[in-house]
Amino acid sequence: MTRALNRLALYAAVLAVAALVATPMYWLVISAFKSSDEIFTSTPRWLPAALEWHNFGRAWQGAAFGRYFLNSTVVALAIVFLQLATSSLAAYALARRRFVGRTVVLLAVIGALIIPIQVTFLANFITLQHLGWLDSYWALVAPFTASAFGTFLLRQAFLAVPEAMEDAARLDRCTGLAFLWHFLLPLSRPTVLAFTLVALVTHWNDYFWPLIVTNRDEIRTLPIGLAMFVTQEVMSDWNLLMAATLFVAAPMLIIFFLTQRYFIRSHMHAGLKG
Amino acid sequence: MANERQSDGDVRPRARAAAAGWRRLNPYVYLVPALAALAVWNYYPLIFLVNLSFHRLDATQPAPRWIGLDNYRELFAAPLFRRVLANTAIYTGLTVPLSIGLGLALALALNQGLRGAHVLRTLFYTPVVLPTVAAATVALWIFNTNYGLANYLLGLAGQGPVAWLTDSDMALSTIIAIGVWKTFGYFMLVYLAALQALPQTVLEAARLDGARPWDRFWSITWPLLRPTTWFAIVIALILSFQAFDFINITTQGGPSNATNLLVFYIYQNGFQYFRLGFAAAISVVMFALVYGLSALVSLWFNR
Amino acid sequence: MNIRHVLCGLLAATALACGSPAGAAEPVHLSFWYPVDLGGGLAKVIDGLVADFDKAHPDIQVTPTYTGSYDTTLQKIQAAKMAGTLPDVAVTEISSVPVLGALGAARPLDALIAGEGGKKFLDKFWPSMLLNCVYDGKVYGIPFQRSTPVMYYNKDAFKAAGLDPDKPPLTWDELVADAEKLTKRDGDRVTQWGLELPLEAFNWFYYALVYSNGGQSLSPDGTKALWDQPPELAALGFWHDLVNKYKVTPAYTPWNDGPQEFAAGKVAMIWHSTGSQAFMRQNVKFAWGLGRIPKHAQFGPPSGGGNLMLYATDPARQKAAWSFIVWLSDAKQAARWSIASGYLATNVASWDLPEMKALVKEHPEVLVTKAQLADAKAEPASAKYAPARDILNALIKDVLANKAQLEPAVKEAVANANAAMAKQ
Repeated sequence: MTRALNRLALYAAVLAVAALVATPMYWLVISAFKSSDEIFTSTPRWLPAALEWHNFGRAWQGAAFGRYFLNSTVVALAIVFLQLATSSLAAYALARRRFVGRTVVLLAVIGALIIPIQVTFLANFITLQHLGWLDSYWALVAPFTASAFGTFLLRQAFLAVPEAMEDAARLDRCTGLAFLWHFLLPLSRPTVLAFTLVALVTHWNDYFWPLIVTNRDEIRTLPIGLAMFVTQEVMSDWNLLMAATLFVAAPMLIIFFLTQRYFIRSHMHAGLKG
Repeated sequence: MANERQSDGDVRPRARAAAAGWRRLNPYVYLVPALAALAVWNYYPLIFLVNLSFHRLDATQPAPRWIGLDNYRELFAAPLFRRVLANTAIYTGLTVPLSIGLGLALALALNQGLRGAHVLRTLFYTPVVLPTVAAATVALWIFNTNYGLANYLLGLAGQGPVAWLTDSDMALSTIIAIGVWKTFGYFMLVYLAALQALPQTVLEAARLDGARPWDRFWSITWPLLRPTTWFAIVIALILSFQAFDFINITTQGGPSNATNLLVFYIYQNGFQYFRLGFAAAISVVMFALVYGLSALVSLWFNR
Repeated sequence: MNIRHVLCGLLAATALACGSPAGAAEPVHLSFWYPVDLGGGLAKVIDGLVADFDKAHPDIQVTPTYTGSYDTTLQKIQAAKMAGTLPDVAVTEISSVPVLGALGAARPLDALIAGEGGKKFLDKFWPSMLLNCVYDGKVYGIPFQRSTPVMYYNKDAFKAAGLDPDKPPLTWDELVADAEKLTKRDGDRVTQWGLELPLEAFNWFYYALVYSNGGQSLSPDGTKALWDQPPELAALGFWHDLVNKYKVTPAYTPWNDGPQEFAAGKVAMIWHSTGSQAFMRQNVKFAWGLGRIPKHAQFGPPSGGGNLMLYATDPARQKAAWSFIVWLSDAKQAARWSIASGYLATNVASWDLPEMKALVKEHPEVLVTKAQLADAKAEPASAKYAPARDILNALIKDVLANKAQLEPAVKEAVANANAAMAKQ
């Protein structure tokens, strides 16, 4: 009985938070389908009179979104791939190996996390200029080759894998990179996935850096297209902005929805227990 | 590392020495790609900043000129800097525990195998995925004093209206609420990943012992989550000091500096006032502050 | 495209010229950075203008680059200045003229203007629009996407309140009287405000009030804040009274919310940018009109918006960039840009063109904006003004919200602002 009550209370609490999150999201989605007249009404309108699907068409025409989509995909995937590679190698060394200067390296990695882009961009802009990479895909990808965040996150996950497992693997001559690939990464799958999603979203949505380092439309990314809708003096087409937001954010939401079941305990993990 | 020696077995001495050498060296090899990239794109800018902070570089002094500690002296004497520090302390002091607490609570709840958990997980994560431009636009709209959704709902309850973003006593709280809303889903994800990695045997044993859920949490789960919590706090701390985009779009640090946080203060001086040397000094102070706080948190967690 | 130019320069020096050597049919490539502050469609208008320029000038090819808002454009220019990758031409907010001039990023245009006919060339523009183009005695900017504030009013609400819908208030006294009649209350709650003065970072409406009261806000040499002087003090006092004594104006309307609230009938009169006309035409369902910013001692709306500025250093590119600026600011293009965007036609001759006359015929209220062009004043600016601008902004918000006493708060703000402007 108390168990059932507890569960009910749990549901109620979770749903209350869900409502707080869902209301603005609902508002965003529904606004994308409203006509311009319905956007600003004195009493908020929960349902539009008719679904204005052509808002999406109009928003799509508003900037070179097709090209931006391609660029965002290429850039975000390249960054995530590079970061996974560099971060898992570094995290492996930091979590599983003893060496002189390990603490110093870890502290340095954390330090790299702290400086926000608003203050690093000048120095990095000048570096890119010296390398001759401004206004190219390199400028969008290279500064994000390594991720202090990913290194830190994966190190935490790798630490949690029991020492005994490494000993067992060593007996099978599975050491070093092979151990990383066959044991550490699969065992840390939820964390790897969590990091992948965060990195993907961060660079998919990054606006400031691509705007600063690119001038050519052919290599620019989605948020720049999105910003073309946002205006300072007057915001007139909020419905179009919301429509554009939806198709920009949709791929990330779909990816999350499809992969989130892997956050649930894997079979492999279950098999290894005990 | 007794095990490592064992595994070498009966290999000849020279090969063994080479293997040992490689073993000593290989952690550094694994670190090279990450550290090299960080050196170019993170550490070099930091050195660049520290150097710049000892110079005067602004609109009327376009070539850097050495001025020693003048920028720092000016900064510590500025009343606005104290105001900004206080704002930042409030912002960080509230967003960090709130977003982590909410994230952990939801991760625990969703880990109970609730029906529809996968939909809820996605829902809670959507604010994280939303581009800031869009999130800020929706926020401006919902918190509009005259016909925003928030005041409409308050009105239904016979309350309000509240000037969410335009009253200098209210704006920081609103910005904090939005900051929590945008980031807690991420901490939920981190905790979910960590909960999945917990050794099930221990939890199972406690359950069989008949320990109540609440006690189980405090005596077993919470201590096991300690490394994750440490990580989450450090990340939340750093994120809270980088809260810029949102403020830039919604309040521009106002009204009357009520939402002027350190990173916005840097931006304001560096890119609106073109006082790059001075902005560099603020950046260095901010770096030291965040690093110091992270170190304190780490010491406390690893004591 | 800038990096390519830099590389070209380097490569040319080592006889590895990219493309054909200079002097042949190879056109000069120019980069043009523009912020869009008025809605997505304008990027396409710019593309169209540039395409037409290229067609008319086969020896020059311009690559337009969208650079976000005025703020991000300034950041891009700043980074580019430090890395040596400045564009050839860019549009920036008018108050950044002194900063970009002092920084040595933008080039003075006097020699080029002299070659174009000197005073005769400058006389093509409304004199008021040239005020924010000068720094240190040299011309740095050419007016392009410019605006002034103007008063939008709801004619239906005027009729309902027994006011003449064709006579918007012209003086402060009339403004208060009309606003009182137009403010509708339901108990304590205001259902329709008489007047709104939305706030943004540039303090436009403070200057509007100060200028119409005969004040200046900033000393002519750009070093001293004059907010504690009688005309300035009275202007802020008047604004404070609108909010707190007559209670006809809300303390704080965010800039972007203004036009929407007007369109939704929440406010009967609102000051906003001339650039908001396009929004009003599309979204306002009742009869509305335009009025001048009312005077007290004189008419004097501040000007705002963006100027064209030149950054190219190489003489050949400077020449090409200048011809682009001249073309873009010429009567025909200025009219085209004005009609598409809602910005003011800054070229006097634009107003005599048939397309502009057609616009005036369809929207006669546009003539109010033309009348204001004659008595518009400069937006305060100096290389070190930005911190003072923010101090003023905080002061205004505190005074209007009744969180600070007018006179002591103004005194303190003036002291802070003068200290900030005197720094280093």
